Amino acid sequence: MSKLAQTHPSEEVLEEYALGRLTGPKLEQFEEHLLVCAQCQDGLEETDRFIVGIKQAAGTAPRPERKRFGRFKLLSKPVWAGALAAAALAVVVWMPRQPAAGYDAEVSLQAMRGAEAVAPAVPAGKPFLLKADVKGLPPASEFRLEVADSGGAVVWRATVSPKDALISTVVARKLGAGRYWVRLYDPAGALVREYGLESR
Amino acid sequence: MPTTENQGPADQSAHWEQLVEQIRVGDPAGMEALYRVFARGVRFYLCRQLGPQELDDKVHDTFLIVVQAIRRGELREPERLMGFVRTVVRRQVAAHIDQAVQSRRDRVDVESGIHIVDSRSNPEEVLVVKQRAEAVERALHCISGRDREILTRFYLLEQTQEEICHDMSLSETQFRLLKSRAKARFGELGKKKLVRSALTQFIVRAKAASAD
Ligand SMILES: [Zn+2]
Repeated sequence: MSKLAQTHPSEEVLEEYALGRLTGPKLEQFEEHLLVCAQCQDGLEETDRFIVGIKQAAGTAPRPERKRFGRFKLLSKPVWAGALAAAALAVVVWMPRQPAAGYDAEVSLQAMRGAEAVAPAVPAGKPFLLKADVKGLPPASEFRLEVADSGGAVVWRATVSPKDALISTVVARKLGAGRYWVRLYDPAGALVREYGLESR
Repeated sequence: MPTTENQGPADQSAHWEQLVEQIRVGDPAGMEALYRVFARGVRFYLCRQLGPQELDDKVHDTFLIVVQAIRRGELREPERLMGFVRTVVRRQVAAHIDQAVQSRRDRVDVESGIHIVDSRSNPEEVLVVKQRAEAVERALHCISGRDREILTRFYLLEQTQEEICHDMSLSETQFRLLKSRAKARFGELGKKKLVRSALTQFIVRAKAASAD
């Protein structure tokens, strides 16, 4: 057994794990430790809660000044309104980078209709704005979003609050080229929707 | 069996080897000790990955898979028992997700292409989540712009420490300090606001009750 499995990992490691950034042997070692360490389970739970809190609050919290945020900006009302219209039409849209937007593409997801469904595409290795229509789902103040690769490994996760029946969040994780699944879970943890996504 | 949290590497390896041997020969003490790991650690992991539905069944199924594999002699490195448990648990998670996706596909409304699932969260849970979100939101308004920027960049925009340090002209130590101060401050404010909102609710309810 590795050394990390016997010592409590640092707060940074807990955060990396909670944010879905831990990979390879570090992930293995951490999870082996997590399975037997109540203290780290509690710590992770607290970290999860904290991150969820930040993400929940982000929708309406005051935005940091644009000039300090060279690469990113948080979502503003007009973006939501445009996304709502796009999602209502169930049209897949991806737009080239808008200079001040801080993401390189935006994609509106539609529920899969089966094997014939064509997955929308995003540019590989670039942050993108992901939007999903939650109309028709039981109302909830938050949903869990996950992006899993074709092998089922979760590569990105976030908890997001819908506004006007629309979820919109920046996926800053740089996805390599390939097929991905975007999964939406309700607050009770039940999978309510799944969308295909192509990164290329 | 002793707990494993505070043991050194050699102690832990010996512990797992001994445990595997006990299970292999059908010693109930070994089964109990392994189940304790499942009752907390595996349960925690499964719940975090899959949610609370049918959690006991999932924990039990996973436990049986591990025990049967040990008894069939499939565990080649007994000292790496937890590595094996992790592999089994991850396989179970993947299988449950596939199953959920498949059953969702089977029930898809062909007309709209949209699947609707009954909400299993009760109104109280929804209220708690909503209140927590509001409290956190208020707390975020109260912290300094710089602290807020660090939290937002790191947790929301998923920028790396290097990127943040570069953009905000911070050293690694400064970043760690600022982040942990911001987090602590945020946590304190969040707790206070939550207590206050719970108190307000209590007072409102008490007033309503006395008015009846
Ligand atoms: Zn630990």
